[in-house]
Amino acid sequence: MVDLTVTLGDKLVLQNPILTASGTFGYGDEVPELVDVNQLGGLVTKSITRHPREGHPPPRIAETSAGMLNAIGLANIGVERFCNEKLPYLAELSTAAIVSIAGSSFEEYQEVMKIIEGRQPRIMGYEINISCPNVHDGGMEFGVSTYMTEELTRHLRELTARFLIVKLSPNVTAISDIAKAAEQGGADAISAINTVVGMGVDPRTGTFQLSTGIGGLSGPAIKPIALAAVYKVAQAVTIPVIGIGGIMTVGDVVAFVRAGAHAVQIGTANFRDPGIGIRLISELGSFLEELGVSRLSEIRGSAH
Amino acid sequence: MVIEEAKVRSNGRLAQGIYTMELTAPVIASSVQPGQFVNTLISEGWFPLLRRPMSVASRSDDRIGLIYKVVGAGTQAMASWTPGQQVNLLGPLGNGWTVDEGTFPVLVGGGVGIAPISFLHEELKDHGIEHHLLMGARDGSEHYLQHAPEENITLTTDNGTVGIKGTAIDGLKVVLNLLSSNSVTIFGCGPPPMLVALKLFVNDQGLPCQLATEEIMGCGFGICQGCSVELKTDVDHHQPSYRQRFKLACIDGPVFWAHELA
Repeated sequence: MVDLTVTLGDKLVLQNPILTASGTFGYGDEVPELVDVNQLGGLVTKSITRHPREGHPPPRIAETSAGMLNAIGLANIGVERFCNEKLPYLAELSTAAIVSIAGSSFEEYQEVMKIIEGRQPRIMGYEINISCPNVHDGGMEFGVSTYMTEELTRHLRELTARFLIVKLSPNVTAISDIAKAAEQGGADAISAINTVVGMGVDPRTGTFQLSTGIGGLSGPAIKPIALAAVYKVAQAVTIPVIGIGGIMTVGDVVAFVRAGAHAVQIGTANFRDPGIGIRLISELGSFLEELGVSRLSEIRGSAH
Repeated sequence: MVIEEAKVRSNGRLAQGIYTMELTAPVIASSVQPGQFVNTLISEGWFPLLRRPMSVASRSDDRIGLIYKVVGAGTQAMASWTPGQQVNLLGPLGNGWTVDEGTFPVLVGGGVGIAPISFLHEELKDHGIEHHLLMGARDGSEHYLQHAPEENITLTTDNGTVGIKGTAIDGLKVVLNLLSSNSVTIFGCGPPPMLVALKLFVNDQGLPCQLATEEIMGCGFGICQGCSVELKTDVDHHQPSYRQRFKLACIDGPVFWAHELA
């Protein structure tokens, strides 16, 4: 019998290693008729900012070879509506609810977390988005600097005892240094990666495919980039790593675990098939059984 | 909204560059309304990666019909599907048209926009609601209906080979002049240039008009936030807001009132 539970540090036990990635599953309550989110290992919400955000003008997405570009622009309902409309629902979940926070300043991140913590919510933790490439003020300036990453993590660590994940950008020179900075600042886990900076151009008209010109690439196209990042980060830190980037199949899940991930998040694949996370959970059991593996820790970091 | 494994019954050319497909999809067929769409999984592989939103063009018993124009990799793949093929559909999605009693519906379609317009046309016929159907195309070969203004069907072509010579808007002016009813509602869907021209015309004339927009979509059910449509708002853009200036075509639309669109 395969045991899919995953222990992240000493704070968080997931019933399985499959989570949904921020921005690819709303707040989890959008498609109750299609997906029973309680079967997931966890769910990471759309990033929340201090105030509501409209996001960018159209076009916000474009398809690429085995991937998609997006420039949503952190469109979200803002922390107050989030607390009133979404926290009660998240509190009822039996799966791990993780709230993603984004901001443009130390103060904004802190304020958002303070407001949520003030509700004493029944959520498992936070994922700090310091890696959104799509807005000038979307946190990426934090995610490219070791100093800022450590300081921000430290400030937020002071505000919560809950599980604190820092989500890293691949658009940096040395992702392991940023990961170490987050660990130093007190993060409980690292998730990697956010989207890869990318662009599309219409060859006939010369127009950008996204209204912002440059956006973020996701989907199977970035899987090798993500695997390398997870591998590097897992070598550099002692805290758990959550792998994200183009996961579409059970083989992808296991590859990320072998690269060093404790758990994974499913992103773009949810747009094709919102039920894919739950399917991957059952496929993972069979896959590991075939390998003769009884728990993920037996193969974690076994890439060689 | 369900995910349904549908089966292709027939698939073939309807007019120049325009194809029609009939699929067995009992669950979706039981509830789909004109103006709604299905999000169609094109490939089990990763190209095309995303589903393709397709307006439903008809329904009968356990079947739905699609009308689509071959424009890219997704619709090219669809054109090759043969009867018996299994197709993964997500739907029905979107809001659909709202037909109010007491006004005379004038339906305006062109290009790929003929799908939701055809569906509305058939539903109005089934309910015995009198209306006028106007279809625009560049050339007569792109039409599949007969020009019959006396039967409330008007066709236009840019080159004049069939029906009224000119754009769908030129045809609409003719139709509106002939109508005795002074209260009309216009229902429009078509390629972007036609939608823009129609929006300008109806807003200028103060005519109520529901437009079905076409946007690139990721998921089709509101979670990716990709299919934004800009609305006119009184909201100060410096005041924080969410989904007031930018609505989502998949869950707020695809049908919007023309006077609301920016």
